[in-house]
Amino acid sequence: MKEESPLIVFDNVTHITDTRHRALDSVSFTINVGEFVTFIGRSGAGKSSLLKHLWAEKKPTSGTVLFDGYHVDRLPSYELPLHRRRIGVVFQDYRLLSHKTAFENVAFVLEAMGESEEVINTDVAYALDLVGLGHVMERFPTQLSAGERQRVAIARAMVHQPDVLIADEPTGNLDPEATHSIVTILKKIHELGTTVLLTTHSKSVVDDIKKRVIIIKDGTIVSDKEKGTYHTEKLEKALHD
Amino acid sequence: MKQPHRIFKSAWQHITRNGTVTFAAVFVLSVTLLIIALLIFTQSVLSFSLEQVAQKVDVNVYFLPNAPEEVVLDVQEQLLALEEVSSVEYVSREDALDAFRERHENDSLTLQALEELGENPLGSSLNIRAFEPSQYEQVAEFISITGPLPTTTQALVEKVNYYQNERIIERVRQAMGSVRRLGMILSIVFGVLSVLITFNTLRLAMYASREEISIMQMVGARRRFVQGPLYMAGMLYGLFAAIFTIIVLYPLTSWMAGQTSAFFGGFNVFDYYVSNFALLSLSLVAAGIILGVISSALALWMYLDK
Repeated sequence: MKEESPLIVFDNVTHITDTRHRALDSVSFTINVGEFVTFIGRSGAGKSSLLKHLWAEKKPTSGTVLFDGYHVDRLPSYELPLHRRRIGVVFQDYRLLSHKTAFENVAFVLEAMGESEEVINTDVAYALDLVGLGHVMERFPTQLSAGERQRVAIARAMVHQPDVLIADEPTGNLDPEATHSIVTILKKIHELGTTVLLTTHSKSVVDDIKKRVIIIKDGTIVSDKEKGTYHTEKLEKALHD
Repeated sequence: MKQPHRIFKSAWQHITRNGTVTFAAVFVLSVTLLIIALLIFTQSVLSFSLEQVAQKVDVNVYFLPNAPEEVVLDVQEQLLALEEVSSVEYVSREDALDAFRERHENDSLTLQALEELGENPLGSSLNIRAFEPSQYEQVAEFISITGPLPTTTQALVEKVNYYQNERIIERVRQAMGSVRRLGMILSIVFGVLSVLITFNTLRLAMYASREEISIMQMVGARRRFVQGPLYMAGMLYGLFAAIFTIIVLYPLTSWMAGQTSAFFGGFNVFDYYVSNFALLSLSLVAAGIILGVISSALALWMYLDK
């Protein structure tokens, strides 16, 4: 395992939107392989915007985003699919395809990668078992609870064994019990060696995870502390001001 | 190698699990194909009707009564050798007289005057038919004084009625040209409208798939994997619409045949549909698939390239 080698580098990244809004302002940080990092801040602080730079949905106005040593913002379009296969993404609104079953939603990623039926059948079953949904593989998203949908989304994000799992407000729509279950799964995935980046505006989630915390406010990093220690006053200000 | 199978499978799921969108797309494409089929029928009906009129138009060359039969028959042969001429009918002096008597059988005064003459005052004639109305001018030119016939033969020609028929021939020729042009213009206009209507319907279908497209892109699907199922869905919409249209045309043309056959001088739409079934089906399937693919391409362009 390449412990402590830099996997993600944000170097003085600024992103100005079409409406001249400064979504990110001179953001710099480094994330090593195998880390679990929680980005916390209130809605609109810039957490999602920051993560979108990682899978090249957004490009920085200035600054550099490096992933495993290469410039993400300079990737030609034909290399983007390969880059994106190194990342798994989970969203607050699940983004599952309503006309596909849980199995098909997860299998879809491997199909897109051109894997064989044999690999798909084995890996999808494993991924759904990992999130505790081996018994509902043939159900459609509408037949699942919110927590179960989010677990299918996590299985989809993880089935191709990406280097990084990005979970963008994965517990935003969930009740405390489902939230705890999702956090437990994320911790399990991290223990298996995957780098996990999580965004949240829930202090309880941060307290539950007890890993590195980066506080974001108005597009800037106001605090970056290790092992779940964060500046309480700064966090309160970032979440409630 | 597994991708084509997956593309078809994904397209099939897209079609079967988005029932409303599939129904709308197939319905719009069917209406479009029905319009195309009706345009083909209309063009055939008009062409048939004009052919009927055109067949009634001919050029008659009347010879003087003293014109020897062998000279007239020689002119007939020369006319038949022209590539514009489809047939030349020889009417002898005797046949002309019989026809005259028949025409005036109730006109005793005329018949009495004819008897008093004591000889046949009518000359022989040639009834000439060209392949196209536009070719009568060349035929008339051949017989005229500037044509290649010897002066002695020209002197035996009493009258050529092309110049009397010239206006009607010209009108038929113009009408046929106009119908062809109109058919072409209508086909283009309806073709463009069809693409726009189908494109907008499929755009809605793609809009319903925008989530799927964005997820595919997010998980690192290659372009052909993203586009393939949607192109395939467009093709299948076109195929289903063509099959539906071909089926609907059977009772429709059967009903239309009863209503329009007498009006269009014997043209039977149903017979036309049955006798041209293979070609018509192939054309509609091709048109449906092309429309579906073009519309899919336009709709995909909205979501993938912008």
